[in-house]
Amino acid sequence: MPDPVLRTIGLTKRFGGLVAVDHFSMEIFPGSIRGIIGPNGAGKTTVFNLISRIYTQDEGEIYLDDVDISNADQIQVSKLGIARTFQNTRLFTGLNVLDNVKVALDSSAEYSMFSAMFGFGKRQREEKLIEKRALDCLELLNLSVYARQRPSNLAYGIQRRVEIARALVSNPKVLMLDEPAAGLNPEEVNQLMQYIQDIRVKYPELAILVIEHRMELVMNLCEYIYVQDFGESIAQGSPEEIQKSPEVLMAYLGEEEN
Amino acid sequence: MVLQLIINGISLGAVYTLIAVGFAIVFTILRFSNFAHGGMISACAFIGYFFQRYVKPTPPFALTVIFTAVCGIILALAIDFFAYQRIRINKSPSIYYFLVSLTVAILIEQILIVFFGTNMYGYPAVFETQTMQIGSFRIKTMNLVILAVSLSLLFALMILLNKTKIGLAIRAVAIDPNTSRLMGINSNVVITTVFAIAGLLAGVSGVFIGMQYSVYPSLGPTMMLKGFIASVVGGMGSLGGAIIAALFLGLIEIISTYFLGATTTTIIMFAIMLGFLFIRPQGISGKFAEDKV
Repeated sequence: MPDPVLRTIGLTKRFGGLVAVDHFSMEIFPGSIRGIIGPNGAGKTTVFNLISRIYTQDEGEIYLDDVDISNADQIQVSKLGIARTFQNTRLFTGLNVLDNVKVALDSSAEYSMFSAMFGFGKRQREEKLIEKRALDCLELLNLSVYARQRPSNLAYGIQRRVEIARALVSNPKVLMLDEPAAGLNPEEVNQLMQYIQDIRVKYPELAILVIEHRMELVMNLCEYIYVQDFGESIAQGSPEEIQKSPEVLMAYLGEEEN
Repeated sequence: MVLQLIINGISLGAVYTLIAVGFAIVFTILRFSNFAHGGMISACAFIGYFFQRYVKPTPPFALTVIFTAVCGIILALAIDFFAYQRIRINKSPSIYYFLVSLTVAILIEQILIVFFGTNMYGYPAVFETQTMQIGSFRIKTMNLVILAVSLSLLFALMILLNKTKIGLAIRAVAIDPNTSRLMGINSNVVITTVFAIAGLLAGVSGVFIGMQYSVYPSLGPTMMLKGFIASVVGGMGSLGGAIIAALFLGLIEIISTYFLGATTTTIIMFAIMLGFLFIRPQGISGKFAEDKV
């Protein structure tokens, strides 16, 4: 077994008296895909927000490739290789699809006002390279035709794919997908699973962490699943183990079927 | 005659675009009206005046513009460092930006009064020929130079904003600073760049405005009010709208001054701004309102 690329130990976050995440520990390995499931309010998105440093944890540690990022800020973790999408898409409304993807590449290239004003030849080559990488990502997610369109003119499912392309373009080590199938119809969910498989072929070292409500997606894609309920970890294991776990059936699957 | 008025009007409008854009670009990123911009224009007008007048041998005009622009950039970054940075670090509400910017504007004006009084200083003649004959029209050389330099500067700025990655980062932060941070965009770099751009524009417009009128401590605030009107009429935070509105304001000012006199013109300009706020509060571009919804 290789070393985990991302690891959390005893991650805890409280909002007032509510414990949103209670000692959450997980690990994910390069090239693998793991899921976090649980009913609404189980603290799944809070875990993502802690890892991407929107929130600061009250307790616990986060390691990326054995580098302690427990106190890093949002810009640092993004540069270190953690990219994500959002439950409610957060695309830049005033920018076209291509620019939305290019935005995420800014961090991987050096900033300099002077090189922006002078150093023309070098800068142009750099801009070309950025454009090519962004276009490649759009192509991978079958978005090339929308490159010049504003995201607000596109269907929800397409906007979600644009977010995935934007997260992928900086070539991250960890991709976190926050309910990628929310609001999609069954056919779109199947397409999404195919896209995720394509991504895994193209980026064999990429670790993917998924939060999802749609059981068919989680059970089909994920190799390992963490189940959260009211902030607590109630089970973890392979999809087969999770489907048989009585706690999970009680807390989650049972509830949904009633 | 009419064509001459139009060219003078567009030339004046071009300077207003520099002021309006310098004002609006800070608004797009930090969402406050940077009234210190007027103070910077006054200070730069004085810097340009003394550089042109007292440096021996007399520098070419282009050097004066470049020197003043560099001073404008330094001044803007200094104001950001001493006055605004603390507000960001403390995450204070944006009303503090507004108050600090007013304070800085008054501070600069008063410092200038202490050193130079409220006298008006006339720019020395910088062009060998005062007017140029184009066909049957006589046009002031100064106006042509102002027009050419202003439009090239705006063009360069549009390239920077639309074709470079720092430009893309500026646009992204303007739309959504929180998501930008998650994309790894360092908003401090963006803010510094934006203040540098505003300072450069204040420097160049300070020299031009000083030449057009004369140099005095309240020059900048007076002129900035027009840049402010342009950015309101154009739609707060929209650079394209501000540019169009500033060009129109310049035209209206010149034509109205010619036919109705300078005093009436000021009333007309403010009436236009009020009218716009009533009829189309989102301005020409309508961008600000869209962002707010």
